Amino acid sequence: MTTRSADAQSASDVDRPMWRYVLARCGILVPSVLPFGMAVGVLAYGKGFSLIEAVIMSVMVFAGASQVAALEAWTSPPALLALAAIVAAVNSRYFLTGATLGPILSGRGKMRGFFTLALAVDANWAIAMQMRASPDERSGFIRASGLFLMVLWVISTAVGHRLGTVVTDTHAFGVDLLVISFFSALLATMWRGGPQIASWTTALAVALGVWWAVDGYWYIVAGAISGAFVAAFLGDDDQEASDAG
Amino acid sequence: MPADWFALNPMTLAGIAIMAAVTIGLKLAGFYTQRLMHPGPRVTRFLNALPGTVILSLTAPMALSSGITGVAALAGAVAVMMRGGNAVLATASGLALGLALRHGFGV
Repeated sequence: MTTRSADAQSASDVDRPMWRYVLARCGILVPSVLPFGMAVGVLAYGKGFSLIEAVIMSVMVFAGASQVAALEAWTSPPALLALAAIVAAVNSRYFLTGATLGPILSGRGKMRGFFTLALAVDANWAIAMQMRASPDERSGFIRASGLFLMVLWVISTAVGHRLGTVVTDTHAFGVDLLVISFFSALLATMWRGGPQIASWTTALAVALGVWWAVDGYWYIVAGAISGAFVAAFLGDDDQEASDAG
Repeated sequence: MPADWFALNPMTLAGIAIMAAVTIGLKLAGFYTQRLMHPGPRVTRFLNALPGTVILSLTAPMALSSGITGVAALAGAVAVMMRGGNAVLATASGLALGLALRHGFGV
């Protein structure tokens, strides 16, 4: 185990200045972030948001799918409880994000922890979980890449707001396909086989079942938790060792 | 300066504040829950397994919603990755395959 962790430290994935590492890992996301942010801006414009209000939302909420869902259900004046429920449902996976980031944040200061959590989104969290690096390098990566993505997110929201009635055809440009491919490639790097077969099969079956049967976004949490439960009860030490490596 | 640039509506701001509070609140709740639990081996295995199962549960329905092109993108990216490709190449391959089907065959 000692040799393994020593190897892991010397072979950190962050082999260049952090901003260059962020560009190398997140540059591919730019084509998917920009049209998505512009769509949020267009929607916000349609619901009577001023430019500054749209920008404030993208900075403070910084969670695209929930912004789209909330804007689609937006009334004037907004129904605050319904809004909270929609955002909680779409973003329930962020409970798991916060839990999985715990080990790399503990004992590193409240402000650092808060900003790391605030700047963690699906893409940079997934990369940080999968990258081979020290806890500080991982949390530093999340803050740097989160800031990078937030700048893109805010600029595209503002541009979308100005475009107003023009709706970008994200389908023709394959924005959905880009997001799917990105997450699929990450899944392939996380695949270790063995005991994972049972937990991933469970997650897949439950996620698809709930997705098919229940409206909303509960399938993400349902599939994730049931699969992880199987891993918790069926896993063995070999599994843990390979996860750590 | 057009009026719709800097106007601030208190109710709109309240709505944004609720959305932001729920989002960061979920992350903080997850963080403090795992801290108070003092995770043993079983909880550690649970947390170790979560990244994979979250992404799988997020991605598989997304691929099915996009239809044949979505499943092709998923399969393409995984295939390139499994054959030793890097993440950028795998992502681009999945996207290219899906787009080719979408525009070439209209599926």
